[in-house]
Amino acid sequence: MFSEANGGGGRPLRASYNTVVALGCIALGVAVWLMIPYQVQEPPAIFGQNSSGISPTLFPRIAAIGFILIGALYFVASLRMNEPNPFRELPALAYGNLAVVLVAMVLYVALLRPLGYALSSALVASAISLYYGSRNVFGIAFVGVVAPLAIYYLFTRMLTVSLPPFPWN
Amino acid sequence: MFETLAEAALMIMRFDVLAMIAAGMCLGIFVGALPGFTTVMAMAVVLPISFFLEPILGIPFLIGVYKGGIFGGSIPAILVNIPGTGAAVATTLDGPAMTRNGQSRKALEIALVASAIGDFLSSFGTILVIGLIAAIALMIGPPEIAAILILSLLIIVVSSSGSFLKGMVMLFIGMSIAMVGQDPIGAMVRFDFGFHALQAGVNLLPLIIGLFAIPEILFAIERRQGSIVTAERTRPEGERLRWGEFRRSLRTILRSTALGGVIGMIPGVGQVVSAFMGYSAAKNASKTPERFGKGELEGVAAPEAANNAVNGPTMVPLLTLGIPGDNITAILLGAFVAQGLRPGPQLFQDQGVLVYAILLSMLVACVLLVIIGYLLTPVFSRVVTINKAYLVPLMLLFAVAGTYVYRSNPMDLYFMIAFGVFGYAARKMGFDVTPLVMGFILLPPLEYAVGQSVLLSRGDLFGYLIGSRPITVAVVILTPVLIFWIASRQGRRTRAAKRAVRDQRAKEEEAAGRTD
Amino acid sequence: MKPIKKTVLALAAALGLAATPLAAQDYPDRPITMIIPLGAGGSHDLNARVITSVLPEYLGQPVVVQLMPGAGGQTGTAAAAEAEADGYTLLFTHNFIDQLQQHVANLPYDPNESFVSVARVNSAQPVLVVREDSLYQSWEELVEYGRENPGELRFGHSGNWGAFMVPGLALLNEVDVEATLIPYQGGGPVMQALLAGDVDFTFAFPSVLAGQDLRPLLVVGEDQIVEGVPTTTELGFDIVSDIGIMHRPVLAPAGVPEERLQVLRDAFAKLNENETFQSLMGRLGENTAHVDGAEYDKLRQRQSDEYADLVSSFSQ
Repeated sequence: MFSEANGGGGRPLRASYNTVVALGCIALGVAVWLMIPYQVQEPPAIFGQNSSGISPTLFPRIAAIGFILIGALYFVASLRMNEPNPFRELPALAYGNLAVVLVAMVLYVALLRPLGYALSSALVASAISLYYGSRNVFGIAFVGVVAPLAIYYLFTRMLTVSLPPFPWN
Repeated sequence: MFETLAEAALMIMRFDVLAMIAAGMCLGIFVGALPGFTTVMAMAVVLPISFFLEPILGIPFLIGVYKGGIFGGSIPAILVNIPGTGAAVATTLDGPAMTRNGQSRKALEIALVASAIGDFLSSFGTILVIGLIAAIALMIGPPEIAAILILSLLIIVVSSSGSFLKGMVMLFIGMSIAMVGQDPIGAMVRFDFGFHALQAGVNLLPLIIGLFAIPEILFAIERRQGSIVTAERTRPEGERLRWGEFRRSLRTILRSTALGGVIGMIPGVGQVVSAFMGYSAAKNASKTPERFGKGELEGVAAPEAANNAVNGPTMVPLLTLGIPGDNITAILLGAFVAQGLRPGPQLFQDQGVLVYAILLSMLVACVLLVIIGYLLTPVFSRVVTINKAYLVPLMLLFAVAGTYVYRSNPMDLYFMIAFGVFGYAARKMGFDVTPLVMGFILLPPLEYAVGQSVLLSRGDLFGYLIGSRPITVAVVILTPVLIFWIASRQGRRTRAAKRAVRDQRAKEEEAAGRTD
Repeated sequence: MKPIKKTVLALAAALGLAATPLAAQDYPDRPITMIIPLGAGGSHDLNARVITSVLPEYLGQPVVVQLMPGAGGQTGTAAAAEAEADGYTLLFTHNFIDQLQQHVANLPYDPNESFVSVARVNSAQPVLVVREDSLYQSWEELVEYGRENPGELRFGHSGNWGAFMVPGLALLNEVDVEATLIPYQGGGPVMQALLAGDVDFTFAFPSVLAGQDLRPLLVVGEDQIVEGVPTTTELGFDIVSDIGIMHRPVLAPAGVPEERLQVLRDAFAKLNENETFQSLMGRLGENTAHVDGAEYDKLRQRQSDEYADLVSSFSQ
C-alpha cells in the first residue's frame, strides 16, 4: 500500500514500511525536542552551582538529535530495502487470534484487583487454554485451578510478597 | 597465607556446610527461575534464617541462594525467552533460538558449565589478588564509569544482530523510555505528561517481560502452534552437551571470564555490561559470526560466563572496605553484620580464617552448582514438551504475577501489555529489541556518572580528566579505535560470508546440473 | 501423575481454608502489609526483615513486606496514602521522605493529613567523617578551610534531599561555608568515593564506622555516640540536631479506627522489649530507641516546619 502510494512503479528506489518507520523516527525526534521546554524541570542551584552537574535536558536533547539523524539515514537506506511488509503476510485469522488474546490480557489486568490474582488468573488461563484448542479436562484444570492457586500461595505465603487477594478477604 | 587457606578449607569441608550451600542453591534456582523474582528478593526473604545460624553456615547458605538464583534466572531466558534480570538479556540472543532448534537441554547445560567456570575462575582469582583488585576498584569513579558505559553502548549497537540503523533506533527508544519520570540525579520531574504516577518512571520488569514474554505468547497464538520446538524430534528437549562441543566453547568461556573479571569492578551495572561485552567479543572472534543469533552454542556460553565472572570482583569492596557495591552485596553485608562480623580492613586481620572460609565456600558453591544444575536440567528442559495450549496461559500467569509483585501497581501490567505489542511489531519488522533494553538500563547510570563527573571537576572537566583521571582518558582514546576495528572486522566477515554462500549455491547448482 | 495432582489440589484447598477468616471479629484477622517506599537490600529492608520476623508474635498475624521503590519514595508513600485505612496497610519510611519531600516536590498526598504514626522504631545519628589521612584534624579546621576557599570542599552525599545531604546543608548553613555538593547513589558508593579521595567529607552511620580508615569529626544529634568527638548539640547547632538525624517510623493511613491504631501501637511497644528483636537490631548496628506514635506525630509537625525553612533558604 505504502509502496504504491510513495514509490510507485518498478524503479529500484521504493518506499517500504521501513520508510514509514524512518519518518516516524524523525517525527519522534522533533516531538521530543519540542516537548523539552514544557516537560523538563531544571534543578535548583545550591551555592550558586547547578546541583545536578548537567541539565536534565542534556540527554533528552541528545536523544532528539539522535532520532532525527538516524531517522534521516534510515530514510535514505529504506529506499533500497526490499523487505516485504510482514503485517500483510498474516492471514485475517491470525489477527483475530491476536485480538482475542490481547483483549483477554487487558481484561485480566482490569479484573486483577476486583477478583484477586487467583480468580482472575483462573478465568483467563482456562479461557485461553480453551480458545487455544485444548479439550483435556485435566489440562484445563491444571492451568485454570492448580496453577493459579499454587502461584498465589507460593508467592504470598512462602515468598512473602503480595498479590491481589481473594475478593472475600 | 597458605596456612590460613588450609585452615579455612578444613572449616568448610563439613557435611552441614555443604548441605546448607546445596539447600540454598536449590532454593535460589527455583526462585530465580520464577519471572519477576530476582536473586536480591530471594536473598532478602531468606536473610532472617541466616541470622539464627552460625556464621560458617548462614553466609554460605546465602551464597548458595545467590549462585543458584543467577543460574535460575537464565533458565526462563533460554527456555521461554523471558529474561528475569538485565544480566540475562544477552542470553536471550541465542538461548531461545537453541530451544526452538530442539536443543534446550544442551543450551541449559552449556549455560550451567559456562556460568560455573566463569564464576569459579573469577572467585579464585579474587582470592589470590584481592588486595590488588581493591586498589584498582578505588580508582574507578564516576568519570571511568561514564566512559565505560559509553563504550559498551556503542559496542552493543555495533554488534547487535540486524541492521546498524535499526539497532540505533532501538537504542534511542530505550534511552527515551528511561527518561520518563524523573532525572536520576536531582529527581526533577521529566516527561511525566501531567500524570503523577508516571514520575516513578517505567520499570525494568514490565519492560523486559513485555518485550520478551508477551511477543512469544502473541507469536504462538497467531497460528495456535502446538509446540515450542519447530524441528521434529522424538525428544523435544534434545541431546545433552557433548565433550567436543564443550572443548570448542572453552576459548569463548575463558575470554568472557577475563572480560567479566575486569568489568566486574564497575559497581552496579557490571553484570549487564559484561554479558554483552562477552557476547560481542565471542561473535567478533568467531569464524562463523553469521550463526550468532540463530542458536549458536557459544552465543549462550559467552554471556553466561561473562556475567558470572563479575561475581568475584563485586565481593571485593564488600570484604575489604565494608562497602556494598550492589543490592546483593548489601544483603550479604547485612548477614555479615548480623553475625557480628564487620567487613572492612580489620576483618581480614581479626577473622582471616573465617573470611577465607567464606571465600572458599564461593568456590565450593560453583562446584555444587554444576552437580545440582546437571541433575535439574532434565527437569527444566521438559518445560518445552508442555503443549502450548497450556504453556501459553502458564506463561501469562507467571508474567503477570512476576510483573505485579515488584511494586504492586496495575499500571505496570498495562505497560507490560503495551510493550508486548510493541515488541511483537518490532520483531515482525526485523528490529532487535536488545539495544532498547540496554539503552533503558544503561542511560540512568550514564546520566548520573556524567553529572557527577561535571560536579567533581568543579567547572574544568577537560583539565580534571587529563590531570587526575588516566583510566578515563585511556578508555576515551581507545573507544573509537575499538569500535572501528569491530565494525570493519564485522563488515569484512559479513561480506565474506555472503560470498561463501553465493559460491556454495553456485557449486550446488553446478553439481545439480551435472547429476541431471 | 494423578496422585500428585490430587495432593496438590488438596494442599491448595487446605491452605485456602486456612486463609479464609473463620470468625472476623478481632483485629487483625489476616496478614498485615508493610509498604517500604525503598528498594531491596537497603537499611530499611534489613530493618524490616527483623521487625517482621518478631512482630507476628504480638499481632498473631504475619506481616508481609512490600517493597515499592520509585520517585524518591513517593511511589510507595502515595500507595500507602491511597490504601484503605483499616489497619492492614502500614508504611515503614524515614523522616526525609515523610516530611522533607513535600517542600521540594509536588505530592499527591499531604503527609501530615494522610498519615498517623504507629511508632518510631529507631533512629540513626550520622557522623561527619573524613579520611584517616586527611589534612583536617577537627571540625574547626574543616570549617576554616571551607570559609577561606568557597566551593573548594567537595561534600559527597547519598542522594538529593537524603539522609546525608540534609544534615550537611544544615551544617554548612550554620557555619556559612559554601561547598561543592556531589550526589552518590547511596551510602556505600559515597563511602567508596571518600576512601578513593574523590570527595573531601561525607557522613556515615555508626554501624559503618567501626573498622574503617576514617576520622570522625562531628556527630549529628544529641547523644555523644563516638568518644572524643563533639556533637552538633554541644556546638549549639540545635536545628541540625533536630532535623539531621534519621528516624525510622511506621505510619498508618489517617482515619484508621482508634482501637486498631492502639493495637498496633501496643504491639510495637512490646516488640521493642523483645530480646530477640533487640539482639538482632544490635547486630545490625541499629538502636532500639522506640518512640510512641502519639509523641512522634508532634515531632513530625515540627520537622515539617524546619525542613520548609531549610529548603527555602536554598531556593531564592
